[in-house]
Amino acid sequence: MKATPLPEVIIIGAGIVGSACALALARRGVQALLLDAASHAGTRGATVAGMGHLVVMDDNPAELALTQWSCQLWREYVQDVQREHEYSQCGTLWVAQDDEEMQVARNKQALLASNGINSEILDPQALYKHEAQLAPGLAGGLLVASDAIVYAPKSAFLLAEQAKATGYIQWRSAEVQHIEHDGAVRLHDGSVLRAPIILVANGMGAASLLPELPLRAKKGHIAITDRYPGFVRHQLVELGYIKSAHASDGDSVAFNIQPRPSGQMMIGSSRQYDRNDKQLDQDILRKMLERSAQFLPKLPALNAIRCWTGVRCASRDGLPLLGKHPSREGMMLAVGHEGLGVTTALASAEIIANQVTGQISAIDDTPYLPRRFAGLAA
Amino acid sequence: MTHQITIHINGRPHQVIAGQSVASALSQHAQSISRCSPSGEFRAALCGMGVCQECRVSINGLPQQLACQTNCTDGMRVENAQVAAKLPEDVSGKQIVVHEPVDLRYDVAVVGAGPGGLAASLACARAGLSVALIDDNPLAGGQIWRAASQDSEADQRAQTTIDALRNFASLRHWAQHKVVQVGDDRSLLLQDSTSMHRQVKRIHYQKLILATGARERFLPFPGWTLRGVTGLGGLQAQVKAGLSVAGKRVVLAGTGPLLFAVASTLRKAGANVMLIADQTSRRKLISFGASLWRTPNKLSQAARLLYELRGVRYRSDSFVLSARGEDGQLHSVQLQVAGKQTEVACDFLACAYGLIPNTKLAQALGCRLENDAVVVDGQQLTSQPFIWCVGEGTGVGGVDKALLEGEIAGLAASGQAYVHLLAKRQAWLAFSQKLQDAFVLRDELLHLCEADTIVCRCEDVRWGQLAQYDDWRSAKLLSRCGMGACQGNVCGAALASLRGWQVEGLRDPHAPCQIQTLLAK
Repeated sequence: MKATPLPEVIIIGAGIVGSACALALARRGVQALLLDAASHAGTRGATVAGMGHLVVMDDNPAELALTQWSCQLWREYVQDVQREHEYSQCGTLWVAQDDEEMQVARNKQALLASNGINSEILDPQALYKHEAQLAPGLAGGLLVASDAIVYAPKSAFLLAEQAKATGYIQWRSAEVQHIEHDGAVRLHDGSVLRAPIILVANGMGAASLLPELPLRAKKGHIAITDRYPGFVRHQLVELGYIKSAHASDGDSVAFNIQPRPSGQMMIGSSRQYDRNDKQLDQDILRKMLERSAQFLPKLPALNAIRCWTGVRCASRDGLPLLGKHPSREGMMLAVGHEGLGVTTALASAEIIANQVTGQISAIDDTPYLPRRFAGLAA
Repeated sequence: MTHQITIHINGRPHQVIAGQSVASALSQHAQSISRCSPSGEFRAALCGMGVCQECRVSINGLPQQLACQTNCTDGMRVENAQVAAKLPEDVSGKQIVVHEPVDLRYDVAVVGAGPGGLAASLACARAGLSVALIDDNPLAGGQIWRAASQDSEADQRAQTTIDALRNFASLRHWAQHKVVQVGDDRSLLLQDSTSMHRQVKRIHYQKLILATGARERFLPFPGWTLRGVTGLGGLQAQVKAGLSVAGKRVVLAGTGPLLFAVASTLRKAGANVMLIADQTSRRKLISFGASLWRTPNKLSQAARLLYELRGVRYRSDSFVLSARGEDGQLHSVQLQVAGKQTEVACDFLACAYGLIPNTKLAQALGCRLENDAVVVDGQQLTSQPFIWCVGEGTGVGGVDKALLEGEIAGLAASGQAYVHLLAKRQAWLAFSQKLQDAFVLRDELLHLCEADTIVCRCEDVRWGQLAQYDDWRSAKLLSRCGMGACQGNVCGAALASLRGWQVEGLRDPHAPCQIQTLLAK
C-alpha cells in the first residue's frame, strides 16, 4: 500500500462547485482532500435541489463572461458523455408577455450577439410553432439554442469520481463542525485536519463556518410532473423573471419550466429571502404553480408527483466569491453562486485552480474576488 | 344487476360491465397492457389498489390516470402504451377549468373507509358529530370488505356497518377522494377522482382519525415485472373490481393467512388454483395454528377456509424463485417447494410478502412512529393530541383489531366511554403479535435478485446498479431509484428489507395529483 500524500488543499463541500474544483485541481496535479457530510458527492445541498439549467445570463458583464465561458466548458466536458449527465441541449426560450418585454428580448439578443452568442427573436407565430402549449396572446420570445440542461447531482458525482480516479484527490465523508482561526478544520468526530489551503465550497454551509461572509439564503421551490414527453420542448422562462429574480426583498415567483429527458417537467421558480429551512411553503408553491398555469393553461390537468425546496446561497452583489479570503491566511472561497452554481461550476473551478497554481484564467477574475467586499478585510 | 356499456380501448369498441375497473377491462381486451416502462416493457397493474402506479393509462384524453382506481363508464376512451396518447387533449373542447376549491367543515375527518374507518365513523356519527369519511376507492369497505355488497358470502359485518352509516345525514362519504396535502390549520386538501372535471375540496376538521390501512410488501425476483405477476391482495382486489379469472391457472405465493383468503376468492371466481406456496416454515405454521384456540373466530375462519380449499395443493417452506414469460406476459413460475425446485405453468402469479402499515399521512402530520407503525395510547390517540390512528396503521393485525380500534377511537374522539373495549383490544393485539412472530420472512427471499432484476419498477433501476450505494438518499439521487410516480411506495419497502435502507424525504403531494389540486387557495 502506498502512503497517501498530505493534501495541499482541503475542499469543504462536494456539491457541483466543490466537485468541479476537485477535478480542476487534479488536472493540474494538485493533491487535495474532498470533504462532504454525505456518503456520495452530489447528494446534498443546493446541487440536489436545483434545475441544472446551463444558461447564459447577462445582467452585468461579469455574469455574462462567467456564464458564457462556463457553458462553453460544459459543452466540451460532456461531449462524449451526454447521457451520463442527462445533458440535453434544449435551449432557453425567454417568453415575452408584451411589447415592453419584447424590447427586453431584442436588447438581450443584441447584447448576446456582440459577445458572439447566437439567439433568435420569435414573433408570436414562431413562438407557438416552437411551443404549442403556451397560452394565447403572448408577444413573442427569444430563443437561445445553445443553452442546455444537466442532472446536477449526477454531474457532481461524476466530476468527483473522475477527480478521484486521477489519484490526486482523496475523498472523505465527514461533516465539518468548525474552522479554527489558524485554519485548522475540525470535524464532527473531533479530529482536526490541516492543509496549506482550505477551499470553502459548501454553499449556505459556509455561512455558519465563516459568519463574516456576505451570504444570504434564497429559498426556492420546485415541483416535478409525471412523464409527458413533448408537452414543452425548451426551458421556458418568462422575461419578467429577471425583474422578479432581482427584486431585493419579499417573496416572488416567476414562470420557469424545464423539460427533462425523461419527459417529466420541473416547474419553478420561487424566491424567499433569508429562509434557510427546507419546509415546503404551500402558499408560495401555489403561487408558483399558478404563474406557470398562466403561461401553460393545460398544465393544471397534469399530475405533479413531488415538490421540494432548496436554498440558494446568494452573495450581496449577485456574483460568486472566487478566490482568497482577504483576512484569513490560507483560506479560499468558492461560494455565493445563487441560482447559477451548476451553470458556473466549471468556470469557477478553473478560476480557483488557476489561482492555486498561479496560472491566468481565460477571463478576468477580478470581479469575483472576495476582496471586493470591504467587510471581509481584517 | 349487470348492464353492458361500451368503452373504446385504443380506438376500438368493447362491451364491458358498468362499474368494472379500467384495469380489469384492459386485462380482458388489451393483454392487460397499461404503461410502457422507461426501458420499454409493457406493464400491467401490480397492486390493484392505487399504490404502485403501474396501471397508468390515458383516460378520455388525460394521460397518466390510474386504471385500477377508475371505473368504466359508457363511451369512455382508454389508450394504453400500445398507442400512447402522451399529451392531454382538451376533453370537452373547453379550456381546462381551474375550480375554486370548496371549503367544507366537519367535526371529525376519518381517512380510510375500511373496517377501522367505518367503525370510527359510526361511533362519531352516533354521538351526533358531523363526519367526513374520505377514501380513494370507489366503494367503502377497504381492501378486505371491498365489494362486499356484491358477495353473498362476505363478512356480514361489512354490510351491517355500511347500512348503519347510511342513516346518518351528518356523515358524508367522500369516495374516490385522495388526500394530497395536509394543512397546518387542521385541514386536508383532497383530489376528486370521480370525474374529469375535478372539484378540489378542502376539509377542515376538529379531530382526525387515520385509518389508512396497509399495502403489500413486494420483494423483487427475476421476472416480477411480467404482466400476469400481481400482488396477492392485488389480484384479489382486481378480481373484486371485475377482473375475470374463470378457467385461469393461478399460483399464489407469499406468507400468512392472506394466502387462504385470496385462494378462496379466486376459486369462487372460477380460477384454477394450481399451488399455494407459503414461505412460512411448517414448524411455525403448526405452532401458529395451535395458538388459534385463544381467538375462537379465527379458528372457525381458518376451518372454513381450509374446507373451501380442500383439494388445492398447499405447501409450506415454499417460495417463488423467478417467473418466466414471452412478450412480457407470464407463462410459468419457478419455485422452491419444500426444498425442491419445480416449475409451474400459469396465467397469473399472485405474490406478496405480508403487509406494511400506510403511515405517510401520519408522518406528514407529525405523529410519532415506532417500528414503522404509528404509536398510539389506550384510546388510539397518536402523539398529536387531536389525531387518532386505528387498524393496520398502528401495526398489522387484521379486520377484527381494526374494527375494535376504530370503535375505541370513535368513542374517544366523541367523548364517549370506551374502557369496556380495552380487554378485547388486548386480545387482538396478542393475535397481531402472533401473526408477526409466525410469519417472519425467510432469508432466501432476500437473495433472489440477479444483477439485471428490476427493483424500482417506475424507473427501471436494477439490483446491480444499487450495489454501489449504501443509503436510500444516494441511491435515489444517483440512480433514480424511487424517483418515479409511486415515490418509493414499492421499492422503498423492498429495499428496507433487502438493504436495511430507511426511506427519507417525505414531501407533498402525498400521492400523485393534478397540479390543479395544488392550486387551491
